[in-house]
Amino acid sequence: MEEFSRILVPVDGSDASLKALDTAVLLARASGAVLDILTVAYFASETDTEHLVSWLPESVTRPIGPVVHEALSHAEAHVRGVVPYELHERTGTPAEEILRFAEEHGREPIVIGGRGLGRVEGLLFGSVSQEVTEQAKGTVIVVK
Amino acid sequence: MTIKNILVPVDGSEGSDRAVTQAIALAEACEAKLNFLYVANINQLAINACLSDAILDAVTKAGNVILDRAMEMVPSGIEKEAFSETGSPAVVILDFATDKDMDMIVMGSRGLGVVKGVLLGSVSQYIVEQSKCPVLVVK
Repeated sequence: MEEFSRILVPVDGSDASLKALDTAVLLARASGAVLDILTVAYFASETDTEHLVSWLPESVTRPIGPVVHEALSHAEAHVRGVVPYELHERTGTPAEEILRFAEEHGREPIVIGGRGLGRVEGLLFGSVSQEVTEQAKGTVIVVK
Repeated sequence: MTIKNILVPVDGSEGSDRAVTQAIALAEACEAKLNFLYVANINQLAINACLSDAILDAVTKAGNVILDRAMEMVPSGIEKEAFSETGSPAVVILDFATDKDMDMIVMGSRGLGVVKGVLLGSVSQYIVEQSKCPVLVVK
């Protein structure tokens, strides 16, 4: 892999993922690549319900559909009219789904935001970028 | 943000060769300058205390061979420069990136480290974690 024709950018609406998106845009503009903007949710929006009574906080029980939509539309606002892109949505464990997506698309390079967690914190708090960097078969660019 | 200065740490390993190839493609696309850095893994104390000139000479030469090889791979028209430093590679690479305002670090996932089983070498691991600029890890 030397030239970029497609670049995968996982987004979750965080600042780190938007910074990664900016770097991916730079690379895409320079290389003429198409961006694959991917968001991964733990749950499918089919499980969303209007009338849920639960003792769990709203941040846990809220519908996933709008969250996914927000992450993608936020990202789209950054790239619309700037570089060619496609939006993708997957359900599952983020690191696994990101790696699977890249694998399915010819081991395309991944540009991912990092929170800057160290090895121990990363293991404790679940560093997606760390797992992706270690496990990916192709090129990974970590942006902070 | 633009990508005008790319730092490519080299150690002569297969992974670092792949990183050089990747960095060249990137530099071409972004019209960026390539900065190759070789870090001889010896500390200053050892140099002052007991390393003979002959050993230092040999280390310097080994580094120059690796740097020359990287420089020769770069097609004409791309700006390039070679740097040689001594010290602990991960620390020196990060300091260099900060001091010289590098926009991106391009490196292999594993260098010459002895542990073959790990997926990400200790130097790459440290740099991905600590770097303030984006790090491209070539597999």
